[in-house]
Amino acid sequence: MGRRTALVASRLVLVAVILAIWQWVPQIPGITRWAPIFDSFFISSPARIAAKFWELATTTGDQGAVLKSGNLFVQLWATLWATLLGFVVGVTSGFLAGLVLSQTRTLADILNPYLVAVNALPRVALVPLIIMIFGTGLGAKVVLAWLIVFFIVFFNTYAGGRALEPSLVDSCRILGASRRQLLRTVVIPHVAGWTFAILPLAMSASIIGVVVGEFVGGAQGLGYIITVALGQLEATDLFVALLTLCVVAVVLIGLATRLEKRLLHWRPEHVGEGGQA
Amino acid sequence: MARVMPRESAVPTARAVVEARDVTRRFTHGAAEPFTALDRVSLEVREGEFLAIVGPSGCGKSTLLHIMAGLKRPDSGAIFVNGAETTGTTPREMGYLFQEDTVLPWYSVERNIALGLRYRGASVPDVRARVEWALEVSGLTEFRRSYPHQLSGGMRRRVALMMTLVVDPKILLMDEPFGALDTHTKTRLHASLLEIWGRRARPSSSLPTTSWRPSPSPIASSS
Amino acid sequence: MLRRSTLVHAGRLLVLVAFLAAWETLPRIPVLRARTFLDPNFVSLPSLVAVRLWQTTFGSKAGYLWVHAGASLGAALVGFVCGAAAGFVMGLALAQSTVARGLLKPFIDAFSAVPPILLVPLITLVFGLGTTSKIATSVYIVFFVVFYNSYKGASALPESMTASCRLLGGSRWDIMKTVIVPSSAAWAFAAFPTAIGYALIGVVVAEFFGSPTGLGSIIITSMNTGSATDLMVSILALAVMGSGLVGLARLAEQRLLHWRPEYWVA
Repeated sequence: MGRRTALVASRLVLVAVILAIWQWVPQIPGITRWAPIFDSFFISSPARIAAKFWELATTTGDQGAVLKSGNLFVQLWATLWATLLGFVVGVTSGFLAGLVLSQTRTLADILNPYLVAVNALPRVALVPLIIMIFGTGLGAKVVLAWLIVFFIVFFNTYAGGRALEPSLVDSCRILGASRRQLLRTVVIPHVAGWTFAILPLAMSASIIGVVVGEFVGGAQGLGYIITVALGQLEATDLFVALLTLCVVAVVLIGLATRLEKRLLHWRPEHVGEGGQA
Repeated sequence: MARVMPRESAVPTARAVVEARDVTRRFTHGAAEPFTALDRVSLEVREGEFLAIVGPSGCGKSTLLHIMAGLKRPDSGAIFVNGAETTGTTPREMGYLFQEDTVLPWYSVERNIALGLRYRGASVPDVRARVEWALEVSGLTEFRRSYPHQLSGGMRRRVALMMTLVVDPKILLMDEPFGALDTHTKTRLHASLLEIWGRRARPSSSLPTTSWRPSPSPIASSS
Repeated sequence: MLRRSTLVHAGRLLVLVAFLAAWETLPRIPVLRARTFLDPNFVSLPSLVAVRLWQTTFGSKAGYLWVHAGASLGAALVGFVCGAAAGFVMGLALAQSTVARGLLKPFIDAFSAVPPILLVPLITLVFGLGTTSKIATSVYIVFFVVFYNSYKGASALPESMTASCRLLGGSRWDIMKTVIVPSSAAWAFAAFPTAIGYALIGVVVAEFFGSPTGLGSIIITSMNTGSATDLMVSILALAVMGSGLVGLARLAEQRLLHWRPEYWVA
C-alpha cells in the first residue's frame, strides 16, 4: 500500500509543481526576455482561470470580455448538441452504407478505387468548403461532423462486412436459415460488431468536425468562443472555454468507449482498422 | 484422390442413403494446368453406416464433401440422396460440420445450439428438450450461458457438433471435424461422437434425461 | 455475356463520367442554382478547376501553390522529425523504467484522451501566428502516435524472446541493444505513415488561424473571398500532397521493415 500511495502522491506533487510554475514563474521580473513563453498575458494563470470559472458559476450579468455569465452553458450546449447529432447520423448512415456495400460485390468493386481516393483525402480539409456552402449554423456543423464520422464508420463496417467468413454463412444456411434469417442472425451481428468497435473513434471524429467547424466559421459553440478569445488575446477566457471543451470531449469519448464495451461483450478485444479523420 | 475405407455395416442389405456417382472436379488457377481434384469418384453410404474418408491434405476430401453437400458443383457426375438427385443443392436432412469455426461469436452456447431449430421453426418445448440433450451429452451444461470466446477450441468444436446434431440430420457430413485440435482433445471428441452415434442403435445405461436422440448416418473426412 | 472484370471497369468509368457530368452541368441550371447549394460560386465546376489547376502548377500563376504547399510540408516534416524522436525515446524510457512510467504515463494518457486538433488555438496563443506554432502542432500530434507505438514495441515483447537472449549470454545492455531497441524502433516506424498524415492535417488546421503562409492559409483566404475554384484547387493540392507523403512513408516503412513478421508482436 505504501508504494501505491507514494505513486499517487508523487503524481499530485507533479501536478502541483506544474501549476506552481505556471502561476509564479511569469511573475519573476524580466523572465519574458529569457523565455517569452512565460508571459502571463498569453498563458494566463491557474488563479485567474479558477476565478473566471467561479465568476461564471456564481454571478449573473455581464462579466468579462468574451465569456459572459451564463454564456458558457449556452455555448457548451451548442457544441454538444451538434456533436451528438452528427455522431448519431454519421454512425447510422455509415453502418447502413457499409452493410449494403459489403454485401453487394459488384457495386463494391466498381466503387472501390473511388472509396480509396476519398479515404486518402483528410476530411478536415473540407471544413472551409462546407462552411462556405452551408454557412455557420447548426446545419453546417452537423454536415461537417457527419462527413468525418460517416467515412470512419463506413470504412470499418465495410471492411468487416467483406471479412465475413463464407463457412459461417454456409453453415447457417445448411442449418436451415432463410435469407432473412441469415441477415438477422449472421450478417448484421457480424457487421455491427465492427461498427461498435469504432464508436469511440467516431465520437472523437464528431467532436473534431464540430469544433474545427466552429474554429473556421462558427457563430456559436465552444470552438467559436475559443477563436474569438484567441483573436482578442483573452487568454483566461480561452483557457476556460478550452478546459470545458476538453472535459466534454473526454466524457463523450469515455461514454462511447463504455457503450462499445457493453455492445461487444461477446468479443475478445479486437480493434478494426481503416479510415482516418 | 480419396480412398474409401472398408465398411462395417449394421444392416448389410440396407439401401444407399447418399451416393456419389462419377464425380469429377477440376480447378484452374489462371493460366496454369488445370488440377484434377476428383476423377470419377463414386461412393455410397448405406443407412446406419459411418464412413470415414482418409487421405493426406490436398487429396480432395473437402472438395468431395462440399460437392456431396451441394456447396459446390462437380464438373461431371451427380449426387443422389435417397435415390433422388441433389447435385448442387443441400437436402434438408443433411447436416454438415465445417472444418472452420462456425459457432456464432455473438450468441451464447445455448443460443448457438438452438440456432438450427429456430431457423426451422421448431416449437419452444421441442427446442428446449433438444438443447438440454445436447448440453448434457456434450458436457457443456454449466457453460450454457458462456460466450464462444470464453471457451477453449475443443469446447467450441463440441458446440459446433451439437449445433449440427440437434436438428436430427439423417445424413451428417463432417469435414476434418477435429483437425485443428490436439491429440488428447481429438481422442475425447472422437469417443463422444461414436458414443452419440452408437446410442441411437442400442440403448445405453447412461441415458440422457430426455428421450430424444438424433440418428444420423455420418460421413467424416480426416487426415 | 460480358466478362465480370469488363463490367466492373465499365462501371467505374461510368461513375466517373456521371459524376463529372453532374458537377459540370447541374450548377448551371438556374432552378438548382437558386434553391440549393449547386451554384458555381459555391462548388465551382470541373472545367474551372482544371483550368485553375493548370495555371497554378505550370501556367501563369505557377509558384504560388508550390510555395504555400512547401511551407505546410516543411513545417509538418520538421515537427515530425522532432515529435517522432521525442516519442520514440519517451516510449522506450517509459517501458524500461517503472518509476518514470508510473509518474508520467498517466499524464500522457490524460493528454492523449483529448483529440490534439482541439488544442491548436492554445498552441497558436502561446507560440504566435508563425511557423513555430505550426511546428509545435506537428510535434504534439506526432509525439503521441509514435510514443504509444514505441512503448508497445518495447513492452509487448514476448518473455521468451528476452529470456532466450539472456540464456545465450546477453547482458542487460546487449538485450537492450539487440532486442528492445529494434523492436521499439520497428513499432515506431510502423506508425510513421499515419503520423505524417495527421501532422500535415494538424499544420493545415493551425494555418486556418491566420498564418500568412501554407495551404491552410490559402484555403481560408479562398473561403473568405468566396472563390470556390481556388478553394477546390488548394484542397486538391492538399489531398495529393498528403497521399503522396503517406504513400512515400508507407514505401519506406515496407523497405525498412521488410523482415518483420507480425506474429511475434503480442
